[in-house]
Amino acid sequence: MIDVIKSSKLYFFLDVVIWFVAHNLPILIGLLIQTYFDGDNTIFIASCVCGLVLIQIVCILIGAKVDITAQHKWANFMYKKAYTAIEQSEIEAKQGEFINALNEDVNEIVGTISYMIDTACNLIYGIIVIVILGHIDISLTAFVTLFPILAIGLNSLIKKSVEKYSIQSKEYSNRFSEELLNLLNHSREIRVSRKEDDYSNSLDEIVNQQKCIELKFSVFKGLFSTFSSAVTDCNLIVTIFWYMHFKTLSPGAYVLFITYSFDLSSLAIYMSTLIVSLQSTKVYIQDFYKKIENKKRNRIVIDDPILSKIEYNSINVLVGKNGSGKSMSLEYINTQLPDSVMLPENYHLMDVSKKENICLNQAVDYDNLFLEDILNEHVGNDNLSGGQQFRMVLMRTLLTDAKIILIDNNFMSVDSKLRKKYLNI
Amino acid sequence: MIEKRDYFQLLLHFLLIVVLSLIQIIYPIFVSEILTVQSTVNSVFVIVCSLIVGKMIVNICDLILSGSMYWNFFKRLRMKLIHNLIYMDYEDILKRSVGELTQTVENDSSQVIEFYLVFLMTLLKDILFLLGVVCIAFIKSWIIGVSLIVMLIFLFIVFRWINKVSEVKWAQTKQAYQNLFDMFSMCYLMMTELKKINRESYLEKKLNTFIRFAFKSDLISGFISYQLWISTIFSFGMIKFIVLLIGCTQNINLSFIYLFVYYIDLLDDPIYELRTQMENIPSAKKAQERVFALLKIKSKLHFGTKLLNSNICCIDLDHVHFGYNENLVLKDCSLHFENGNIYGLIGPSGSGKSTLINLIAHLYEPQSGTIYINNVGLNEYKEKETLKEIEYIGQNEKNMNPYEIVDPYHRYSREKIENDLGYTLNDELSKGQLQYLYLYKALMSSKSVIILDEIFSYVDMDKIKNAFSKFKEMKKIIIVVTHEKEVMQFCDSTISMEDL
Repeated sequence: MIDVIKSSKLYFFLDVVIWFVAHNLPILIGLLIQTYFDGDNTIFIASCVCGLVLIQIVCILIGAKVDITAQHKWANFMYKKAYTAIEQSEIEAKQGEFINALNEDVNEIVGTISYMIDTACNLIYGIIVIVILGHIDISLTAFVTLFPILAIGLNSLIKKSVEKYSIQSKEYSNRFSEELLNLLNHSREIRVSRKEDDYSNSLDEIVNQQKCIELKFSVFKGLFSTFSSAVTDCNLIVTIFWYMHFKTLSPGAYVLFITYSFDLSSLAIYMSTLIVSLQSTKVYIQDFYKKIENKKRNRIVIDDPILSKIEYNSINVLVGKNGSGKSMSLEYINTQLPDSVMLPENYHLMDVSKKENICLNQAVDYDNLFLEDILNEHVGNDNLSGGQQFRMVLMRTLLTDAKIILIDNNFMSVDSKLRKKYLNI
Repeated sequence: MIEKRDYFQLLLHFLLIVVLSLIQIIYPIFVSEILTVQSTVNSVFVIVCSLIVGKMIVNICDLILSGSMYWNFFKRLRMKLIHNLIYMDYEDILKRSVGELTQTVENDSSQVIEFYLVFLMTLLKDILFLLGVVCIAFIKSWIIGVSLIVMLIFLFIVFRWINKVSEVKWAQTKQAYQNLFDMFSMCYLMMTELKKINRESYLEKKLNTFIRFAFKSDLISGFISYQLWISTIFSFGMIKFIVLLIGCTQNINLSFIYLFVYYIDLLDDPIYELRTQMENIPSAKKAQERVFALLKIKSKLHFGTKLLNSNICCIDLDHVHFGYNENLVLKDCSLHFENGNIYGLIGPSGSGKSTLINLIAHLYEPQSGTIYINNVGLNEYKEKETLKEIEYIGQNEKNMNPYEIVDPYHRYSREKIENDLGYTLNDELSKGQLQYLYLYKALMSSKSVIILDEIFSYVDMDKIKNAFSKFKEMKKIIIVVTHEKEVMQFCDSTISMEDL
């Protein structure tokens, strides 16, 4: 998480400063209300309260912009990281998992950083409050501080269970996404081979288990937030008892104690939530870095002096039995010779116009002769047939000015007339 | 979808909320009275304590109840959506994008339930509490009552206005992020191939524009939640100001002034809850539309009651017309398939080979004309009945492990399969070896119609030849879709889709 913060230190700093001011203004409001109830109930005090509220609003306005921009900076850093990972080489994670990581994990991590700043500012607020209260009545302050600390301790005790639950729930949601994607991508096979019931059963099973875990998790979380909010009530009871029994507090101090203990317990909630969410963020961070891990691939080493056998300005054909290493050889050539380009076995198209798909925004022109049957509008992978897709991709490959063009494909889905024409280029 | 038990649970949930709101209104009265009464009456203390403890107990009960309700509904809605997806017509699936459908099942469904169970209940709780506060205000001082109502109306109008303005912006942001993630998907898929032609910078540039655009729209829509927060602080600050002002100009008991200061502090949490929930209203509305649209889709295929008791020995197409939208793919197509023959389907891409197969498998229905299987119209058969005898083998199952491809139901032992194949089924198979698995699967099939959809790429010719000589011995209808001339020569007759 630290390197994410480091990616934009300036905004982190700005974020901290502005929220520090915004969160600590209520202290002054509390003090003003104290003097008000101690008998100084003048219009002046009332208007001071009003003025402070307005200042707080201005602070929040500035803080909002800063906070959102800061979150963007951090998210951008993570997006870039993910991009570099796919740029380096293939990724271990499946497509659905990868996108899920970008969508959920990044949001969660960035959100937690922002929340951390909030909590830190609130913590300072809490310390100032305790000092002020201690000045009025030190023993009551001890009691009032005790309960929030207890709540925080209780919450950090359950950290482990929360982590366990959040890993489990993440696991189920991943499994569900994967299975759902399978279901949609193979909808034709499923229907023809009558596998509907299998899919329906396995998905039902996942949803069922997901429900059980999530229910336990939500009740568990809910119980502890109830306990945390009980802190306010405990403080309230203690303060009332103190006020009625010892009669040492002025009415203003009584009001101040109640107001501040509200804030102290909301601080406890803040802290506990942070502890819990830091824990689950740890899971998210691990998840994120796991998802952008690159595949470990063995380096291809081929003994055959294949490179020297390539003839320029002619069509070289590589033949061999299944499993004899044709594709591997092509990969090898591609990595060894810098002036070669390769059309791999699996290819895709973007969901953009025909021209952009072929030229990839480079200033080049393409030969429309073999592509006349394809419309100029949006051409995605879904609305072109296999042969049309291949022709588009082939044209894309031919447009690069490389000397060697490697094609790992046996023109299977191109009909014979076109095939001849292509080989003449 | 809603059962009797649910109504009971909802009612209980409602009652708990009413009790909770009542406690919430009553206990501050005692807390503030202590301020000026200066009594040591123990009964007041006991009342406050018991109210607070009661509040906690009711809270916990409600928590468990609402949690179980939420997840039960969640489970049921998800299952229903999945069932609809699984049993939906293939044509309906094709009309929608995969991203849209996953979005509906995964996010929209929980959003809808969140709206009905969490948002509406929070709203109810807050309204009850606010009503109580206003009533008490009017009993003691009409000025506070009026100003409270004015402030609440102000807050309501501002919230409404912000929501109205934000609806479009939220949708924009959502779309922008959806586009961004789609772009990331494309990067994931296309990086390797574009690197091989040295064009990876295209993806980077494209991705950067999408990121920038997503952030730009997020800055606008993200600010909305702060607007809501600010309007809350403003109106609460103003009420506090008015209450304090009244306290110093009019002759009102200080404990009463404090009661309202206390109420305002109490209001902070519910309004915060409401506010965060309110941000989701626009997207919840959209989510609901999508969920209901998905639930409403009904199958348009027709089925009869006839059973298929024997093998399929002939398939006939009688003047079949079919097309997507106005575009006719098959025009007056009449064909005859008989067992013991191998048919090769050829034709340029987009000429309707897949469509023909989908029609025979009854995934589509012809716009006019009839398809007969064993001389009985296809839609006279019971649902899925003819598929018992049709084996479709295509090569789309990319993410499956080799063993699953060959034998998804584990009918044969792994050893037998590996013995037949002559190689082990691990993850390091070459493309040709992997591709041959489909052919092997076709050979093992016991069904009487076998459709092979472009599964010959990378497979050695002598292996294909071998397979076809075995096919010839079987008394089956075998339909082969391919581009390979060499494969065509093994077929008994070729059907050119262009000539149809």
